[in-house]
Amino acid sequence: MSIEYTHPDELIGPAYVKAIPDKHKTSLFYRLEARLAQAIAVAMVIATIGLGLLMAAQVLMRYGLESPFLGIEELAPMLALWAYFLGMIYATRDQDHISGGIVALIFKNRTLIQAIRLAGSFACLLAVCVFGYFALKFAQFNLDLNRKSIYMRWPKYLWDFSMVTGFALMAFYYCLQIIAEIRDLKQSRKNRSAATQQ
Amino acid sequence: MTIFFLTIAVVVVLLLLEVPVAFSFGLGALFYGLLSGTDISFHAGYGYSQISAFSLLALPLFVQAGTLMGTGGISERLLDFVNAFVGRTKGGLGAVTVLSCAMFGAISGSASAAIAAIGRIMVPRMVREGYPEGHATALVAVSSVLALMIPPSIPMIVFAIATRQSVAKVFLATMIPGILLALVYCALNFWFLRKNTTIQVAPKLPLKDVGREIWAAGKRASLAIIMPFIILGGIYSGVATPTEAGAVALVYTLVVGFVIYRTMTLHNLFESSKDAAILTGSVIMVLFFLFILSRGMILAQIPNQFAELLLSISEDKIILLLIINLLLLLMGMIVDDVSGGVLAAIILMPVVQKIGVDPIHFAAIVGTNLGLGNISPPCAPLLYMAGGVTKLSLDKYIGPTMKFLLLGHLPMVFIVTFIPELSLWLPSLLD
Repeated sequence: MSIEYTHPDELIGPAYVKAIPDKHKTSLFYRLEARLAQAIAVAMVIATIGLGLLMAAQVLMRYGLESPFLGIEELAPMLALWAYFLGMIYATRDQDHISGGIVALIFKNRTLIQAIRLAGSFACLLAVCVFGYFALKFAQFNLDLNRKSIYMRWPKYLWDFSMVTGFALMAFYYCLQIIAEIRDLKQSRKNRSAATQQ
Repeated sequence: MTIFFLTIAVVVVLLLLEVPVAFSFGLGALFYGLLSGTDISFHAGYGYSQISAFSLLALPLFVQAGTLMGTGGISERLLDFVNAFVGRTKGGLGAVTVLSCAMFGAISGSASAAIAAIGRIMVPRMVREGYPEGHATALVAVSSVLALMIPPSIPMIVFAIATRQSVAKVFLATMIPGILLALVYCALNFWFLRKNTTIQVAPKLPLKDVGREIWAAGKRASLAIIMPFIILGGIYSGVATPTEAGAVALVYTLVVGFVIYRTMTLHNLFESSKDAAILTGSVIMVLFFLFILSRGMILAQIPNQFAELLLSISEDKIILLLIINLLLLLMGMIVDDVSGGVLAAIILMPVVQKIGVDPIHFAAIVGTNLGLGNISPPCAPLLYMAGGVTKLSLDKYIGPTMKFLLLGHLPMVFIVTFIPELSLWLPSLLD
C-alpha cells in the first residue's frame, strides 16, 4: 500500500510478519486465499468509486435535473459500510492498521519483540471475535424484525451483513496472522540456536 | 473515575505495545464493560450507527480524492508551480515542500497523503541538491501536519461530527493558524540553512523570465490550483455539503487525471482506490471502537466527572487551558489525529464548555495541538512515515524535527490557545 501509517520497521525493529507469507503462495489454500483477496479488493474498489459517483450524481440531480433522489441517502451509506469493512479486512490481511508503539524502540531482543507482537495479535483476535459476535447479534435482531430501509424498502441486512462479514473475515486473517507469527518465532529461534552452535 | 483511569491505562499500554489503535480501543471498551458491568454489546449497535452516518461519508471521499491525486500528476504540477516562485533561492526547495504540503492539504485533507505525494518527490530532490537528509525528512514530517489544518481536514470532519458542530465552521477554525504555521516553517527553513554551504541553488533568472516561468507552471497546474476553490467554494457557498464536495473533488480528480492530464490509467485507479479503501477502513475501524468506548463512558457521566476533577485542580482559565493542551499533546503523542480528535471531543469538551471556551476555538486548539503530538515521539506516526520515505534512522532527523517543533509548532499552539480571534474570525463570517 502506498500510504503507510506505521513504523518503518526495518529501521527500528524486525519487520511485521504478514498473515499471508510470500513463500507459501503456491499451495492450494493460499491460491484460494489470493482469489478471495482479489474479490475483496475488487468489491471495495467498486464500492468506493460507486460511492463517489453516487454522491456526485446527487449534486447533479439536485442542480442539473432539479429532482433529488432520496434513495441515494440510503444507498450511499450502504456502499460506504461495505467499503469500510472490506477495507478493514484488507488492512488486517496486510497488517496495515494504524498503529504506533515503542516496543521496537525500547527492546532490542528480536524474540521478545516477536513474542509481544504475537500476544498483541491474540488480543486483536479476541476483540474481533467478541465484537463479531455482537455484530451477529445486532444483524440477527434486525433480521428477526424484518427491518427495511425507509425510501427504497430494501432489507436492512444488506447494510448489517457488511459488519458481520467484516468481523468474520478479520477473524480468519488474524488466525492466519497468528500462525505466521508463531512460524516466524520458531524460525528465528532455530536460526539463533544454529548461530550459537556455530 | 477509577474504572475510567484503569481503562485509559490499559489502552495506553496496548498502544505502546504496538497493538493497532482500533483494537486497543476495542479491548479497552471490553475491559471497561467488564469492570463497570456495562453491556458493551448494546453499544456495538451505537458504534455501527455512528460510522454509517451520512456526514461521515466525506471521509472516504476526501481520502480517495487525495490518494488519486498522488497518481494523477496533480502533485507534481503543484510542486512545479510553487517551485517557480521560490525554487531559485537558497533553501527555496524547502519552502516549496512546506507550501506544497499546505496546498496539497487544501485538496486532500490527509497528512499521510501529503507525505506520500509530496515527500516522495521532494525529499530525494532536496537531498540531490545538497540539503541535509535529516533536515529534508524533518521538513516533510512537520509540514505534513499543515494538511490537517488547512481545510478540508479529515480529523476536523470527525471532530465536528463528534461535537455536533458545523463542519464548515470547524474547517475554517484552523485555516489561519495553518497558513501562519506554513509561513513560520518557511522562515525557519531559510534560517536553519543560512550557513549551509552544500546546497546547490539554480541560477537566478531575470525578472521577465521568472514571470514567464511562473506563467507556464501556473498554466500547467491551473486545474490543480482551482481545485481547493471548487471544494471550499462549493461548501461555503452552500451549493454542496462537505460530503458532496468530497464527491465532486473525486470526480474532478478522475476527469483531470483521465481526460485532461492523461496520467491516470485503470491500473493506477484500481491500486489507488484500493489504497484509499484500506486507509479509510483502518480509520473507520478506530472510530467504530472509539464510539463504542465513548458511549459507555458518556452514559456513566465520565466526561462530566473528569471536568469536575480538572476544575478542582484550578478554576483559572489560563491554567486549565495549559492543562488541556498538555493532555492534548499527550493524546497526540500516543494516538493518531482522528482518534485524538474524537477523544478530545468526548473527554475534554465538557471542561472546555464549563470554562467558557467557544467549541469552534476548541476545534482550532485540537487541530493545532494534535498535529504537534502526531510528530512528537514516542509514537509519532507522521514522523516515522516521513522517515520511511527517506529510509533514514530516527536519530538522524529527530534533532531537526524537534527544532522545527519547539520554534514553530509549539509557539503556534500557544498563539491559537490564547488568541481566540485567530481561529474565530473566519468562522464568524458564516454567521
